[in-house]
Amino acid sequence: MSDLLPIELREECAPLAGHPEHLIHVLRRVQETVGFISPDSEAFVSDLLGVTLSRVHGVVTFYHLFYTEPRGRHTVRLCRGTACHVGGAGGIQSALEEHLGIKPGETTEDLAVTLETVACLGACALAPVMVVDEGYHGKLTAAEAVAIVDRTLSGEAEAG
Amino acid sequence: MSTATEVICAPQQALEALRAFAADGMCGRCIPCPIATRQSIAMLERITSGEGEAVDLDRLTRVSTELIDAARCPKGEEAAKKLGEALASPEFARHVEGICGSGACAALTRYRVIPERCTMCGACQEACPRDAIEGDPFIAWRGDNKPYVIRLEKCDGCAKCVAACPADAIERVT
Amino acid sequence: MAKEITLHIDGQPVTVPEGTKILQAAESIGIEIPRLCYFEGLPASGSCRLCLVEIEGQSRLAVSCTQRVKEGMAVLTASDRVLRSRRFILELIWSTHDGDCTTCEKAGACDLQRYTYDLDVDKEKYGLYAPDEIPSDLGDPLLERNLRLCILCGRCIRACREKSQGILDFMERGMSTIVTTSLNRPLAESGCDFCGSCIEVCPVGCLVERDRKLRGREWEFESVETLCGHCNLGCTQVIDLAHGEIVRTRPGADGYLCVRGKFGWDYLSSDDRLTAPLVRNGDSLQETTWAEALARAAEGLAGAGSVAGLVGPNVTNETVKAFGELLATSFGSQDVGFTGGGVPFGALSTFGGLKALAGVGDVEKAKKILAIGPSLAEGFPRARLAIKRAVDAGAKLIVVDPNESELAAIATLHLKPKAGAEAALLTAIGKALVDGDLHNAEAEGVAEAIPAIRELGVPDAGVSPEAIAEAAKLFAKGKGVVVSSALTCDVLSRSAGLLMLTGRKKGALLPLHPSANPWAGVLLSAGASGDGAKGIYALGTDPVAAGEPPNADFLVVQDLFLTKTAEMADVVLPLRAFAEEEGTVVGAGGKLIAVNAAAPSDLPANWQILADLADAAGKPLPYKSIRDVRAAAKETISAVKGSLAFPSMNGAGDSEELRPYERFELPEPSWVARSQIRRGGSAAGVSEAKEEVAA
Repeated sequence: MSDLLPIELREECAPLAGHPEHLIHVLRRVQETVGFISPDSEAFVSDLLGVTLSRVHGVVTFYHLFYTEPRGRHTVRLCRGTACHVGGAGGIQSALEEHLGIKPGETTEDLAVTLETVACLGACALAPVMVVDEGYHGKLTAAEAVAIVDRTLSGEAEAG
Repeated sequence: MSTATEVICAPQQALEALRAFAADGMCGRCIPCPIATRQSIAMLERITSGEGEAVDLDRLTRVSTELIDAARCPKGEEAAKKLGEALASPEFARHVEGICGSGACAALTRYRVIPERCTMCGACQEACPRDAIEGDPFIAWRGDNKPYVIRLEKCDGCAKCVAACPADAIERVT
Repeated sequence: MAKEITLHIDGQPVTVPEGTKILQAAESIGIEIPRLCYFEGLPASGSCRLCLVEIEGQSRLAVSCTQRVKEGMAVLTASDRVLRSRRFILELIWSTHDGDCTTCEKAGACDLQRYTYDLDVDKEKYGLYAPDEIPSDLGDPLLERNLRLCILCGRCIRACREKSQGILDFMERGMSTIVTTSLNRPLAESGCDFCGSCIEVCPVGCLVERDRKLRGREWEFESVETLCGHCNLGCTQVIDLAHGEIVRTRPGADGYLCVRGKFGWDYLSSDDRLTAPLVRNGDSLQETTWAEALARAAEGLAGAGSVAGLVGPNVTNETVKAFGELLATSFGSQDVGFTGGGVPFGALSTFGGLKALAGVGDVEKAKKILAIGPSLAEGFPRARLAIKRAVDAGAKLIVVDPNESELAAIATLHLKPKAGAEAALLTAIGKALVDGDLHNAEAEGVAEAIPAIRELGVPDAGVSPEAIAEAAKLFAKGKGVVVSSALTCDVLSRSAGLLMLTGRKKGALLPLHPSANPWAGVLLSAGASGDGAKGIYALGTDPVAAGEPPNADFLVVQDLFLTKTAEMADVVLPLRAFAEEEGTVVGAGGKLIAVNAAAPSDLPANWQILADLADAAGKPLPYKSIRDVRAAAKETISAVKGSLAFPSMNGAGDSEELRPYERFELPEPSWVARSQIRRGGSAAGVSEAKEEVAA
């Protein structure tokens, strides 16, 4: 996956040159376009807006919103809230970590899945809850969670 | 790591709340809040694993009161206040004494076989990852079948035996 | 006048201007409120929370470093509640601070240590949580960053932003927050210019100069204040000595040193320093006594017939004055040249004399700045800082540089002449001033010069007439200075011309020179030709390295090291380095500024060596003490007056062709090869140096 910024994006951002107050907006646009923010992208933003590279990187690493590595095609989010915790979210997390070979915050080598944990999703009646892409799945066992993730991946293989 | 039982105790609740705060809301841009949060998490982890001491409770109480002034923003204040409210529970002192009344803390939870209900099927022994259960399977023509026994010193409260027992013959000790 | 506010702090009344912060108001009456993130001169962040105070009537504690005073406020800086909070915060800091005061370099000068003592804080209260992954040394050259000691006060971030390149920031968030460069790259790869401003503000031992480590405790140091001699901007430099050896330098009250002032002192104790006189014996030079060497030198020079002297720009006024006097009195020669190289006094003498010389203070207060020349910011970081401060305060900046540069990026107007055409461009701007009637017709000497300027043809500098007209319009009025790292005669004389045309005569021209005392040449009478001289005395200068080997029957060289020129000499005398000398230099406005002998030396003072040589020649100097020399120097300098004849603005440049673009026309000072700092002090230069040192 190339992280070079497309010409359209550069043209879109050009009018903002020299205006540091647009830092977050430009970073969002880069992420929306490329999927993540690479060191080269940071350098581009730094030069364009006149913001030091240290400040750009500080902002990128501060907000959960920004990713510094390419993300998986699918995102699996596990709820960390109290109800889910009590309902066995820990076991689901361990099972998924083992099955996918990654820890929360990481992405599988083939860029298929990114695993994340999030604070309460507000679906406590369904505890424990897992969100795969846009879909909510509740009252899971570890085995069921793994199966759902596998189905998602193989569904992709079928479609693709 | 807790059990799969659907219970939670006050110290675990406080721990999860702080972990959630640390992962999401806590910015880390003032000096007291991130350190207080991290130390409090460390102390609560000790308390819920059976290593808590009375001095940890003193320290946690101090955090819950002093962080209200010291934190730079309402988020830190809120976290401190929530911790203070949680600390009001007598469960904390009991955890320090080694008892997690609700069975939520595996390290402080022990199980025992209820002798009169045990059918000596051996399922618990098979399920136990710690080899903590002693006993022999039921042999019909023998007259000296004895109920299984869980060695408390080896039990780590994982409750796998509870899930495995078909006769509801295992109960929580603490 | 600013409105005054009266409030009470700890029961004491204090009156301060509106806008003063509570912490500053307290300080003004001698009450120190503890603080770790606040630092005078940097923007306040209010993040350490140590400076919290109680204000009567307010339920929340207030941040005294950011909150302004209000009329009638009643502040308590040490109530029980405040003290409890302070102790709590210090206890927390200790729980992440993996250090040992007994061996820490900062002991005795550490704010954390001091407040812990003052408040009797229990450092073990929260144990110690310092994960192994936190690095204790990030491996940068020149300074050590030990993040295990970092308390996340952010002072280094703000200092780097204010004074240098802004390469540090808080990275990550929450409990993972650290202070470092983008992607935690090494400093040398992150644009660090190694000014050491971060070290100055770090309250604990996280940032330490590598050369300072294990060289002594803070309370053992003896500190001497002087001026840094690496360029003519004259930043105050404090030299710390332990057991008589230099351990560290740091800025003085003006608060800034660049990499050369901060780390470029190691050459002083190089093993290659000349420590004893040498005399030629056939093919080789041999060590001898001072008496022998001086006798030989006196004899050789006297016997040579005609004698010429050459002196370099890195010595004190007293040395130059004594040198000129020696040549005149003892050897009957007026032929003494000041090899400042590229420093044309002609420009000054036709422009108000030395009073026209500007200093960094003039630049920081200027409203209009004309910055000429290549690598100005990189070569002279203090000038860069001064220009940046002025621009931040609203000054308009015109940059003349064929290349893009840091200063060009913040300029109001960036003019890009063809290479070598700076002087032509300045002429064109001068003409535009006059043609547009933007000049100051009442200014001294101007009216007479106007007709000639109107007659001038406009040379082609490669810049559009519109841009030139804009520059003229921009620069015409307001407190203005010209700062130039291009030191050719033409550039400086035309700069002087522009300043005269716009009525600016005092503190207006700042040629940037990589030497300590480039104006000392005014202490000598006529310039030297050195032609035909049979005896030559070269002091603190290396003609061979400059490409002009001296052709003499008898050569005396006095220098820090055995330079190429010294290798040719008949007598070689050691020279006391600038940092080792007590004396004066010529500073802004032509004032004499004192420097102290801050670095140790076993050599006699330079003026003394010259006086001894005069004695050996049988014609002593009229000086009994350094005060005599200084007085004589002062007299000479005050006699230097500008002739106020208008400098030549003629054409492309006198009879000289447009020169190829050169950064400096000077040979590298002899100390550079023996220092860990390269000229310019760029980060790349530092890494190269480190590799060479390691090799």
